[in-house]
Amino acid sequence: MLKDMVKAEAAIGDSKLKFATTMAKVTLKHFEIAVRGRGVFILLELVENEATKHLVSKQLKAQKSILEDFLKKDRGAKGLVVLLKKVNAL
Amino acid sequence: MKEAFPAVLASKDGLRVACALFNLLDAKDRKLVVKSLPVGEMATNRIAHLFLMHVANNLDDTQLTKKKLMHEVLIKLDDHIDDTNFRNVLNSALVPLEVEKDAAGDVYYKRNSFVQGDDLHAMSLLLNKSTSKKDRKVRGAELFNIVRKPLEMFFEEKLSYYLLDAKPNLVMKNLFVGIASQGEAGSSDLCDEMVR
Repeated sequence: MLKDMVKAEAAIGDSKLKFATTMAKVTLKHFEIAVRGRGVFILLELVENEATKHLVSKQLKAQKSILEDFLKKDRGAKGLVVLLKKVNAL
Repeated sequence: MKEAFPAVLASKDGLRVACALFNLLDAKDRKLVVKSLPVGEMATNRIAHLFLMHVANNLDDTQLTKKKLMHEVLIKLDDHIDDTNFRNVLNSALVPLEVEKDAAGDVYYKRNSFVQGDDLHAMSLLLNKSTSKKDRKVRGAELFNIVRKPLEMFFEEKLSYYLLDAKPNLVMKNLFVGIASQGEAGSSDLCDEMVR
């Protein structure tokens, strides 16, 4: 639901993006918990969308090593695999 | 027709007939029919609720939609929120039914996540001959605004329960996504409460 809300807000081209900004702050603050759970899909939505990419790109690049560590522990985490690909492409 | 509509809506063929006839009626006759509908009972009926969705998505009279149709649905919110048919009526107000044309020029309701394809097909008879003049996007926005406030109040009261409910509530999801798509997720009390 949160992912869809971020997507819906970004689609209207609202320059304020208040909700997306809040979600970016929450997921980045609780980064480790988020990437180990379904929060990874919110981060993925934020990073995939051109309008919201700037909200998370810097921090995601900085925390790339954490993502790689989690992926080593859990190879089957599809969301994490895609997120890492996106971060590498940033 | 005023007398026959509730009986007609006992079968899927009847639904086809009712929806087709409603498409052909002019605004004055539509008003007569809508005023005579037992909306509260129809909203939980397996077939009749589909007709309500069709009416809500084709009626041009916003006040009639608000004061008769959605009002009678919303006063039953507490009692019937767990009923799938009732939820579908609310979902069709939050995510209005879209239409598409096929190669032969016939107009059909597009598939969506809450109504089965054959039900949508049954509701689409003579949709291309509809007397409705209002733009679907405009009607959709009006419908959303009619149900938004009462639903926000309802879910705000029981937010923790519905957020923790194992069975996902599509009405709540559509409400949140609808608010976000209006760009008001940042200023909505309900969204604020949910994020907290």
